[in-house]
Amino acid sequence: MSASMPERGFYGRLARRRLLFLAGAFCFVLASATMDILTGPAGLSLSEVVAAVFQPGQSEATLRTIVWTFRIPTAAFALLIGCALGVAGAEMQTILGNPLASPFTLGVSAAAGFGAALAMVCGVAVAPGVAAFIVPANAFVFATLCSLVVYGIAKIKRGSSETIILCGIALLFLFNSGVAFLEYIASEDELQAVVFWMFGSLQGATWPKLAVVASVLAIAIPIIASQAWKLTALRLGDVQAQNLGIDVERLRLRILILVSMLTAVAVCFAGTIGFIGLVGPHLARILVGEDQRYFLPLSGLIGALLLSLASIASKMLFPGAIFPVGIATSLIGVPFFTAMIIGRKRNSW
Amino acid sequence: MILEGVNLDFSYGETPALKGVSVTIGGGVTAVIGPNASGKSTLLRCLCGLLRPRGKALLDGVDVARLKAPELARRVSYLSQGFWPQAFLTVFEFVLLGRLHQLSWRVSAVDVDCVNRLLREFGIADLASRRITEVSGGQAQMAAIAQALAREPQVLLLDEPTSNLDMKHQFETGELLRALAGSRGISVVVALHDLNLAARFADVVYVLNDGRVHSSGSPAETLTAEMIASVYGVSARIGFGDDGRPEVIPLRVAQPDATR
Repeated sequence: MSASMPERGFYGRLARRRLLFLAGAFCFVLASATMDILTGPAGLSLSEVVAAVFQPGQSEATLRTIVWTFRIPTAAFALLIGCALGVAGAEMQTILGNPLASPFTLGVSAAAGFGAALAMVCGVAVAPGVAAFIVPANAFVFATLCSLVVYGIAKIKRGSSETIILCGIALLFLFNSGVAFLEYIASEDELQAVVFWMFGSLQGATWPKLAVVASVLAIAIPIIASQAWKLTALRLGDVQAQNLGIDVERLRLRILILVSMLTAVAVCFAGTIGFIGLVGPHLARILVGEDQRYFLPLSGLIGALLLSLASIASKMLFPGAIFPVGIATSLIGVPFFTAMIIGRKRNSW
Repeated sequence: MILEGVNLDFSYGETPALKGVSVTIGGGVTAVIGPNASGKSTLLRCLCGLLRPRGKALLDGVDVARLKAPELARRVSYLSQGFWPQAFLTVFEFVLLGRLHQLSWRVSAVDVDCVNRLLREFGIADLASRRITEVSGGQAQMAAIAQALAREPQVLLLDEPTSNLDMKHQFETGELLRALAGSRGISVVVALHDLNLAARFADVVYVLNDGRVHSSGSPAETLTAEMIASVYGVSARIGFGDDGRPEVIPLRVAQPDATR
């Protein structure tokens, strides 16, 4: 092989194939987001939506409001929240060396939910001086706390998969019972807010919320991407990673904090949407392996795609009404995931 | 390059693993032998800075604990015992990770060439596109050694690298390690159970027993019937090949008076 042409040979072909997967996923995401904007209970025609998107000044105010205040923010919200959950799941599985790890299965989503519910029901802020951001701040603190507990157990037990998952499930139940308790003592209005939020919903999407989620993604993803090779090497096991010069503890802690941020921001704005953080990375792994340069973006793209499809399904299952997206996610995701697992060929990448 | 262990003491909790072990690794191939739980793996991990023992591990006179992790990683490569990769990576990518300290987002031609060359040298070039979890144990082991070499280290510490290999591959690995020590000037330290491999390929042998150095020297000096009876509790006959290297023929479990 010529030293000046690294793209030649098997590795070059592999890289090109993986880039094609990324490009393909990106196209699917765009198509799904477009479809998401085009569908909704208002029953607008294609031409009306297109006109409202590209010529908002010449559209009716109602039409403009539906498209620019509801549909586009909701569609974008699905992409960003899905991406955050996909990336969070991928990195949690990487740093804990466990394919069953995800923000949902390890109780991090439930912890964020508990923090958010605490703010909604009791108005209790665990971080002082953040009254305006009490719900997301509480969600973040509890998500981080839960992640640290899981991490501590993983460290003490030397990453035993079963122990980590069992502890995560225990924390999931603990925080779920905490939320149930808060629901029990909540007023009718607070209860309604918490229950609707627990279903998982994209309907609260606003441009400011979009900006917050996008900002967190814009901070977290480049930092994680900058550690791509180290995170890939972490899959060799702690001893080999350390021998490669990686400060394993520091890397894990840093990524865990970022994962908590991603989970917290997703959960506090969209509720507990399970499955995506678990399945997105699995599908990405099947398609491109665990080289984080491809695995990380594809996990995010598949997460975005799944939630976007779920958003469309939530509008189409009962025409004229919007079904909670958290429920639709599993309805969309399970068949998709099962088909991928069954259809997977050995050495498919 | 000289790697030294000076009075190394290490315990796992209350269980001592090394008791005042001193070794000096110069060039060539050094074999560390000894029965199970004699401290071979612990010694290798102390020498590469993965464990922090009492006493000192020195690389060219500098305490390895004071070296920055990336520098130590560049100079000393370690492959753990029973290393069984579980990552969803191709064999090529797996070996490529050995060059972690110099990988950029876009993999350079130098890195690609290095990995291709190693895959050819180890006879696993045709496995480059296979998933590392789907090749045989022996093939994965070869890939793991190739990965350890990919960073072009000064010292290569291998903990029982031939345990999953058939006889042919054991010999090929031994020849390769000798070649590495000869042509590239890499100091190879290899923990082994197979005394005949140590006899055939090592320049220096350290015999560990119960966390202490029992004896050290050339294979002919260390691999004696007395040592084998004393350390392993096995009666053995020692022959000598054409090259003057000892050949160990184990006979039976030694009786209590076998060492007399």
